[in-house]
Amino acid sequence: MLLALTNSQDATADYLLSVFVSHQIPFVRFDTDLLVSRLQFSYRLGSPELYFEGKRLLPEEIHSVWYRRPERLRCEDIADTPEGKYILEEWAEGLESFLAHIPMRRWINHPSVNSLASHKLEQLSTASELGFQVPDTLVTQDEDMLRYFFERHGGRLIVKPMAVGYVTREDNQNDSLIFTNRVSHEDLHDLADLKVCPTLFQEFITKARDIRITVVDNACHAVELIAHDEDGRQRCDIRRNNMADVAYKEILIPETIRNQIFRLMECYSLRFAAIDMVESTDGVWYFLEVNPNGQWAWLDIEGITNIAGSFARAFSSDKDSSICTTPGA
Amino acid sequence: MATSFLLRFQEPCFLSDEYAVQYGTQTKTYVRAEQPDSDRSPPRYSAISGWLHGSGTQTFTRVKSEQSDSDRCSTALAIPITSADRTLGTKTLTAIRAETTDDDPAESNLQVIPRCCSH
Repeated sequence: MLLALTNSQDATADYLLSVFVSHQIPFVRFDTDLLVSRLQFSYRLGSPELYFEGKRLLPEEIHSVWYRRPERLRCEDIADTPEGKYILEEWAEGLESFLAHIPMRRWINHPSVNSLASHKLEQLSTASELGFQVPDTLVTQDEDMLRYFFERHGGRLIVKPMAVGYVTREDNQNDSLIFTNRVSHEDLHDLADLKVCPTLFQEFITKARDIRITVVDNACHAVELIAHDEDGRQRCDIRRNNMADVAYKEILIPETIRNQIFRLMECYSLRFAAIDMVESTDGVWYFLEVNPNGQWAWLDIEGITNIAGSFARAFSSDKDSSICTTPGA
Repeated sequence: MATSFLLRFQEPCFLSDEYAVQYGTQTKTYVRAEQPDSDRSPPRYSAISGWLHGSGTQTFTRVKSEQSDSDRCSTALAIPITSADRTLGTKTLTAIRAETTDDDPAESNLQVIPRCCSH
């Protein structure tokens, strides 16, 4: 049995699990925002049990966990009070304890693995150690260092967020976005605000194309993304214009890059990841970042890839291997 | 109010209806709309509580979805968000609490289910 952990609004889960239905792959979906009222949990020494809509689930029966986007537990019948939150906390711990009986290797991906793989700067360090070409990078609060870095790269720098690319406000209609942007000479006139927090700068790569590489176990789906600005050049940040004008094509990647990617996956113990790279106009492949719980379904729906098929194979492989090993091992 | 260099580059989060039309099928739009690369704020994994809760309109959400490639789950591994609760009040109180609980605030960062009490 595959256990999908997500929320009720997860369209990627809707998509993949519908594929599993058509392939008769058994699964149970836990939408954590709707779960509590449909669940019962019990534990006797060594034997946690869940009853989900009357069906008993044991950890050893779950050969795979697909960790998508679980949210906080919610329950209409539990008041939003300190006591209600306490009840949900107890519920969460019970569920967590059940899940802790499922070995991490059966997860795609275990959240602790995702966590370790999610720091952008550490990713650059690791990728560089593994032999990837990475853009020259500076994180600084020091304006002299920035000016030096700017001159060193002939005024060709970008600035981008280290964490998230938007600013949320109480009225979310007023939220704002921060894309990857070119840094101009004018931007350096007054740098008083640079001291406020560390800021990530990188050399500007003249891109021929962006490349999204989605890995599921030993399957590697590489897609080029082409989107041109009005001047005919590849867009600095492919996500602008909501990617409405991006052209996709599945591609083969060089063997060296492929090997590096699998070493990166192994390094982080990831079974799934969406990796962003770019190829420069002079043919150099640069690593940008890895998204350990990144998106992929839109590429399938565009008709470019069959990543769902790779998930099906990965989970089927888990099922086969669980038959051959001691339950719970 | 303090701002930062990067915040100079913030842009309004707005899309015209033209883009929605260009997206083609509703299914396609929906998948993109609801599926950011980042985990949607399991609070225990996030240093900033409330991140991305309250999604707003579909168009608005879609913009967000394409914008966020970072995984907020991970950012708090060394910055437990529950620590603030444990250090409220006087130093004395904090010290007493520190001595009286066996809970490691950072431990929660390795949990699967986001917790409500962290907000």
